[in-house]
Amino acid sequence: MSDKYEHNERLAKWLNNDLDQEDTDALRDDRSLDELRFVINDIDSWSLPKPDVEKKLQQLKESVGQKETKVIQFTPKIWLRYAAAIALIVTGYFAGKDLLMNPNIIVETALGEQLSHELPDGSIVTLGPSSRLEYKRKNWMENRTSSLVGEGFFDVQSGPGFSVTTSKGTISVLGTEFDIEIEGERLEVNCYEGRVLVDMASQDEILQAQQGLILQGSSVDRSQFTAMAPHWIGEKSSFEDTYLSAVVFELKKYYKLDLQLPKKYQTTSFTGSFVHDNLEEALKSIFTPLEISYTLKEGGKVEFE
Amino acid sequence: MEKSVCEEDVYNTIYREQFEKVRNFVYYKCGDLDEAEDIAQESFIRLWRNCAEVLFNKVAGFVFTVANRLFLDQTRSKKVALKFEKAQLPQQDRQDPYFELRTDEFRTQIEEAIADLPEGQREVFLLNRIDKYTYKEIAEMLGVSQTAVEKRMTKALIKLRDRIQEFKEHKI
Repeated sequence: MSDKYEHNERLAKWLNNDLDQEDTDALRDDRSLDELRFVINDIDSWSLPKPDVEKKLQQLKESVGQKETKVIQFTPKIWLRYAAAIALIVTGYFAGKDLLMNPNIIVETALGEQLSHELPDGSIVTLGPSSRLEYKRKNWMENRTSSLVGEGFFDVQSGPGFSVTTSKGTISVLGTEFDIEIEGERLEVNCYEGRVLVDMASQDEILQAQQGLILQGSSVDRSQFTAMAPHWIGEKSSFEDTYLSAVVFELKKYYKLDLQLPKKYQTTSFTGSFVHDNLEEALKSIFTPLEISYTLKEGGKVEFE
Repeated sequence: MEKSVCEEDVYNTIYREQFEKVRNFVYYKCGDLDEAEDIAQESFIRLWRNCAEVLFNKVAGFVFTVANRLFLDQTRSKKVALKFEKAQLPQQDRQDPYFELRTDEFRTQIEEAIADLPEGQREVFLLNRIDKYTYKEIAEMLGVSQTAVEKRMTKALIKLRDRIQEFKEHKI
């Protein structure tokens, strides 16, 4: 039935008043086409909200670090007024080498330690245990770039381009990008507010609030979550439906442990939390609910039955 | 002498002319204005970074291709909802032969029918009607033949026509 319309793409041509005689004849006297024409005329008047092109263009210029124009010099104030913080967490587990040369600011945490550090623009980074952040204080406002090994939670002040370099890719507040190729094992990014761009060797991903991704090898898994801050912020670590192997990995960042999780428990799912300042409590809160028996011996050695 | 995209004036002009169009193009695919703006912006950043390699008359093809790729890299829900700004309807007039088609209810149905079109047909239809691109221009942007564009357009039009008829029959 629709053949008389589809033949020679007649309807598309009809809309353009571009039909030849034969096709015109075929469609003559079809009243449904008058109605279609009427509806199309209405649709032709529809529109979408106009983007603020000038503002977007300025943002683009700022993020690609182009030479500044007069207008752009005024914008930092405006930026602050519209400041909306963007937070993200980057976790890179790997044995990393120092990538940057001094003189840089280096912030490091030891085993079991957590530290909040204020960057020159007021952005705050909270480092997880055994982590290291490095950046240049000089020209920070123009070039908000830092490199991270380990785990960090970034609460970012609005402004042009903010990015964090890891061995597996660069994470930036949207509007910037970097190319990077470094080897490593795993990259996890969770976005709590705003939008971030994750630029990895193989592909790019844009994360919105409450979205995360894990890069392992060459596979990228995306996830959704509801937490407002990462599980390790504060005095305890919380987990929801997480493999026990990952929980133990996390536990080892806070306590010096000699613990081999038996294979059969690796993929057991754990929901709960452990404290950061009491090993016995921590072990109890993880293994007791799962009915896994263990003994804690001298020197942090944990044995399973 | 060909204009260079790396010249700031040239780039700015391209941006002002094309940004909204690229944004709309992505919106037709994903139905999220914020996301569409981000993807459009990112596409133009790539254009700036690659300005030396992109010929002036290939700019549109470049940004649309990049935008499409960035769109494809995203995971998304299947159902797309599109909303357009529309002029107010005139006063009801029973003498009007298109009286029953001049209602908000009907307009909403048409909007849904467009959102329900397969992505290929939807983008062709809206690029043509809202952004006033010709079939030939759309073919170049999407990297397909003009006949392919006309085929998708025809299919979209048939679906709209059927939806109008359905609407009328239910009303009677």
